[in-house]
Amino acid sequence: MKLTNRDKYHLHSRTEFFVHHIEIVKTDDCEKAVDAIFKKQKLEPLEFKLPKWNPEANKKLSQKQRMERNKKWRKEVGEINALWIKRMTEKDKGLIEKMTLFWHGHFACRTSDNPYLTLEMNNLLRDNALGNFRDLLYAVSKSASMIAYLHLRQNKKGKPNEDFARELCELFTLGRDVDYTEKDVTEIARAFTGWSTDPYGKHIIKVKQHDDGEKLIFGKTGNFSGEDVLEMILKNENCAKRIASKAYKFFVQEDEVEEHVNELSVALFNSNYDIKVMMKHLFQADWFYKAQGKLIKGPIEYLVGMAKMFDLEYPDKKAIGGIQHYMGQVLFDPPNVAGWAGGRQWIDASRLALRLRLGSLILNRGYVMDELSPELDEMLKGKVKKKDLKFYEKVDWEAFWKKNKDASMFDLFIRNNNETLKRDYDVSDVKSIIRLISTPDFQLT
Amino acid sequence: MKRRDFIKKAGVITTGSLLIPSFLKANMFSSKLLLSKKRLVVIQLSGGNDGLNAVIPYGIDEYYQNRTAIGIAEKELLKIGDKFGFNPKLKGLHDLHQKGMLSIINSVGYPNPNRSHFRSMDIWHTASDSDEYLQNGWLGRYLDNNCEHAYEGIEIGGSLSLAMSGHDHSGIALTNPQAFYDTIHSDFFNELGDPVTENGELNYLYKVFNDTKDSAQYIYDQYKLKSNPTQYGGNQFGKKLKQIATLIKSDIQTPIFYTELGGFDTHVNQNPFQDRLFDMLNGGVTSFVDDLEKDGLMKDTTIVIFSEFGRRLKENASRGTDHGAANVMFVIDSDLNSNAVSGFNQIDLTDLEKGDPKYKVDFRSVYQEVLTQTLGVNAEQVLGRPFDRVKLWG
Repeated sequence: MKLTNRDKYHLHSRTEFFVHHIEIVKTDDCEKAVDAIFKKQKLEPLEFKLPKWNPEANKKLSQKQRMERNKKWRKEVGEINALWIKRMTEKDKGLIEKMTLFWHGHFACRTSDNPYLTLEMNNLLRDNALGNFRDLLYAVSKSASMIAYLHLRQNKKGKPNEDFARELCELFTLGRDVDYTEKDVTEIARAFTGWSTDPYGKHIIKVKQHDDGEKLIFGKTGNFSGEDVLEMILKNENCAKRIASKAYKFFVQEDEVEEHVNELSVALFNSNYDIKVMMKHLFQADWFYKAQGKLIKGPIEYLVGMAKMFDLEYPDKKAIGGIQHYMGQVLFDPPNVAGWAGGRQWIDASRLALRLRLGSLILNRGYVMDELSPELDEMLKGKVKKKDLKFYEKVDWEAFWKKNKDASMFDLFIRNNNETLKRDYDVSDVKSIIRLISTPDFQLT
Repeated sequence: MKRRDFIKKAGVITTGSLLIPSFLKANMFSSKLLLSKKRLVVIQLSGGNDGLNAVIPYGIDEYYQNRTAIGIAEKELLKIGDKFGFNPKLKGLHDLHQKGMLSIINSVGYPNPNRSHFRSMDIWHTASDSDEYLQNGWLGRYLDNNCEHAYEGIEIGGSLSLAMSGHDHSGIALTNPQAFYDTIHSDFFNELGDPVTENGELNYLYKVFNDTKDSAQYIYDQYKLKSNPTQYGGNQFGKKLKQIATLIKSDIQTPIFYTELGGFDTHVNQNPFQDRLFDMLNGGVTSFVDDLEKDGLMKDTTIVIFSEFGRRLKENASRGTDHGAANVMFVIDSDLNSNAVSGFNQIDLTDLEKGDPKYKVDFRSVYQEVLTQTLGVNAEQVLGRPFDRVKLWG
């Protein structure tokens, strides 16, 4: 398949948020283009300096000290949040970071009150983001973050806690009520009894708490362990199908076409869960190129895309967290274990109003257009609050024009075909760009 | 030239008001809410309000036994009967109770309570079971079934609560009607129009966009219809309620209002903190009810006050309390039945689960009653199944 410039913009924005015109792949060959993007990805853990973990010190805190520590921890998670946003904008890491974001929504785990867990989970998602789903599933199931979040520590022989067992089936692998029953959940919980971590967060199985008795799971009887259950689930093609379906909704379009999802599912299952194989298939499929503008950008995609478009820094870490909150997606703080609903659920009246103003707030102190009367302009200036200005950044327009001098501004920023918009604003000037990014159309990718 | 005048001159307002549905314009000045039986005002106390220090069970020994540092002395209480008394900071609520306008529902919660703020708030917002994850709020589902426009659910606050978020229709969150109007109205936005495309996502965005513009216009037009000189107590919280009252007085066709008072997570040194919050709650709610009563609008209004959970019976070592489970809810309305007002005794401080009083009333029973009696709709459509009836009206 031959790619047009518009196809290439589409490919880049879906795989790595955005790239400037001069950075788009040179080849017109779809297969080679996709390979090039995969090839340039650099896997690098997110590093953030934290004091060495000391389980003893954390035990002895008074209530007041604990509150102060919690406050410090939340601040540190805020800094890690900003660091990840910055990481997503790096040019050789876009796809791997976007995949990490995808898995963050799939294995949704709230770690926003603990920077240690935040780094643990985020880095294990990244390590396996384009690796093997089996490894990823194991790593998540054994992580201190998920063990704490889904109460595996409370899951003991004779006193099972079904939280993890239920979400493992319903959300992480098979999908609600697909090939499992309530009875399976109860028995799977027994298989995971004793799963815990040592004081340093390393996975252990507490033998005394583990129920090694016979269990009946998915119609089979045996003294199954937690790992046995993971293997039984992975053998079920519906596990691959659910992952395929989620990838489709995240990377292709909201409305599922079963045939396409099946292609992805088969690619994943037949490659023994090689995520890269499935993702390459997705980006090389002709239906992927027909889905331009068929997804609503998530808040993080919006913010990272904007940062890449205009080389923004978002220097105010508090502001970047705040804006995520108002847009409805705070990193490390998913609404619940089901992750962000996404799609149309990103948008309501208030959030859309914010999004329509955000581009101009960042680039132009909140003014969408510049034909205001001088009086009104003055008045608005007086009204701009100090805290708003933290989001204002000076754009190096000269650099921008240099990187995009051969591009149609409409094609670069807008994925759908809105003829009126193209007719009126496909102009290489700042004014038109600010207008293009202040449209409902710009919310699509 | 004033900014508003400028825009008027530019003809923006004329365009906008043409977009208001005509049935609304026709009824703009009638004093009747068309869209529901009554309007509902929900006040969320975020952080987990300590209900046991709001309505104090002074007649139950376990209360003082477990709260030697933060228990509130009997002589300070605003008593209601021989077992319970209001926190002295809640004088206005006590008065409303004396007048038969406030129902205290004790021990409200749900099975297998979750003690995380986030999760428990989710459960209250979505009206889910504690092991169920729903993506839409209970009021959002009401909006889905009964409403067309964003202005039909107004939240005074920076972002829309999950409770107000539906699948197809959601409410609107704003901190200031004029500022919100300014955000979404500019010549450029007004010119954008409504492209007809085959892209479902784009059509959806433009639908929300146009509804947002219309709603912002309608809300702002209503808001400035009448000035409201009433002085409100309750600081910032009172100001939010005043905005709601000002809108209600304009006969705005909005069945649901929502707002929040935060800061109730009192792990340390609880009483002075809770006192300040109760001052705000009491001041705001009292002014609000007075303001609406003055215009005869309280008869069409129900106020519901809730928090995501109550707090542990036993105080902690820092003169505070930790996350608990069942909690008190307040419903304020002028047509409550007398049993709903006098029946506040369902609390048992000897029957605890992990140190917390067990729930006796499912919060969804209260939602069900409010959906049926205030909003006048089929509650099962919203809640998915019937719950035991808590009879507050009739």
